[in-house]
Amino acid sequence: MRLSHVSHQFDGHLVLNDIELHVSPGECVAIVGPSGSGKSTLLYILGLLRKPDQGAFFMDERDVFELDEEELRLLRLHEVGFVFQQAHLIPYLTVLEQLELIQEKRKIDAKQLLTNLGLGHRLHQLPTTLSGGEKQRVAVARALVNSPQLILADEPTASLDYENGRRVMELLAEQAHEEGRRVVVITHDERMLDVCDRVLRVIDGTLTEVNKEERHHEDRFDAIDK
Amino acid sequence: MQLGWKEMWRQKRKFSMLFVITLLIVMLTTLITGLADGLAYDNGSALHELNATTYRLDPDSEGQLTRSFIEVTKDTSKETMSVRPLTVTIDGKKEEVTLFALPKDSNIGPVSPLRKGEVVFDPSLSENLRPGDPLIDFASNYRFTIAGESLGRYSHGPVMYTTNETWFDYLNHSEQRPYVSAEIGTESTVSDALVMSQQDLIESVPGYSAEQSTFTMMRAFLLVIGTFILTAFFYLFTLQKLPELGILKAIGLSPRVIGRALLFQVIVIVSAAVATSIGIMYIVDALIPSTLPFLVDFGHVALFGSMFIFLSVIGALLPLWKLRQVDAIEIIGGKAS
Repeated sequence: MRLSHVSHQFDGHLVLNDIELHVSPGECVAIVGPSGSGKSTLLYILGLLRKPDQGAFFMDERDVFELDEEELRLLRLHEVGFVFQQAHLIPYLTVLEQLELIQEKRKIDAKQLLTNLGLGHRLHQLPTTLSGGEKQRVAVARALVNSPQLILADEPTASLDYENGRRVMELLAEQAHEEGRRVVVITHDERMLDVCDRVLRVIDGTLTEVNKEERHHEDRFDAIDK
Repeated sequence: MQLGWKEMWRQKRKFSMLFVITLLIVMLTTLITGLADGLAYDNGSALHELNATTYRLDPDSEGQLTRSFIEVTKDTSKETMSVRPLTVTIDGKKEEVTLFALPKDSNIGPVSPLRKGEVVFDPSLSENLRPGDPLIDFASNYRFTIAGESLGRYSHGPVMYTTNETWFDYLNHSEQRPYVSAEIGTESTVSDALVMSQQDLIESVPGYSAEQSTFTMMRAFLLVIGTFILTAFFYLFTLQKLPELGILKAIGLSPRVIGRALLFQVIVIVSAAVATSIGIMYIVDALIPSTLPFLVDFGHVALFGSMFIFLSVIGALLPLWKLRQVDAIEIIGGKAS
């Protein structure tokens, strides 16, 4: 999975400038950066929700932005899993039904997946009865149910306390390390970065890698900036 | 559809409220339809129930039976009918009634068992008349004899049926020239007769068309206004659900799944409201006094109910369009960059 020379403007301002990004199977990548730096735009491009002004996005060696809207939708459904800041669960569907609604190929046993995420006792509960951490784990399960190549998480721990946030991040990292998926996480929480293999920083529309020694300092800077 | 059903089942309070509002709107239309049909019945049921298709009237009659005078020789074998308003005296009080004289040996109307001088009458004329009772025409002092009851209303008044034999006897008694109001058989003695269908004849009853046009206009406006209100409600419900629906769109769920759920809900709620409304109409019909012109014509009410369902589905295109337009990125909380 590779972004090649991706540039994108918004309101005449260059949000992303000639971005190159390669994420390998089994890799968990964190993206950090100040607000407005373009990291969300980068996530939307990776999630096939926004076409960049320039550049290409290769998945399985084909440029996905040459596909039409319906093909992109199907690709999102089957190959991309999303976890958002809020769980955004459907209030009138039970935990199991949240997954069944979007599950198409039945590659994965939804009940087993939920059980693996510690939600086996909550299968038939409505979201109103769940805690914040449980809701976010359901959102993670929903992202995994179609067995996607790529999991994108946009500040998935922002609405959780440390313990629940840590659990969600570990779940996402496990998906990379144990299931061989590609995981990209946007986060401001420096305490969560150690579970990721790489940390990238977006600043002024460019992407730079943060080495392990710099992580602590850089992420503190991010937190202050936020 | 399952998605739509689950939402309705698990959010009963919200959808019950929507159902009640829809029911009230549909009931306005169906009750107006019941009144319109009741008045239509009250105005022309005697004509509607006659087993004849073509009527030939006096060309100067302007289609009104009571103004049609076709001079004939006294011949009760011909298929003719005569209609005349009478004033009769019942228990010392004068009552208006329309006399329908029909050929005896035919199935055109309920007169075949009647003998000379006998009539059957609509029970709305009086509750106190019994078979064998006399009924005196105030103007001519002709004495009719009650033989039984038979439903029939004309121009918002009760009808009394008799045979042509009695009709000519009545004219003879009151020293009038023999005439009939219309020819209904195949033979015609009038070369330039005004030929009318049964429906034409009913619509020519004084006041019928004006009455029915008014009700048709009311129903049309109610249908349109009702559809606007329901569309507004479903649109607001859809706006409330946009965050979840936007997320589903971002995930890649087909908009058709969400659209079908919405259409299912619209059809179920409006159909349930139409069915309940028809049921309520039958209850109203059973409870209201018989003097009120109200009639449940199932076919007619079902037709207006179907129109409501159809228009509501058309109205649902607005929230469906809104669903299609929703930008998943805005819902997620990002800028549309």
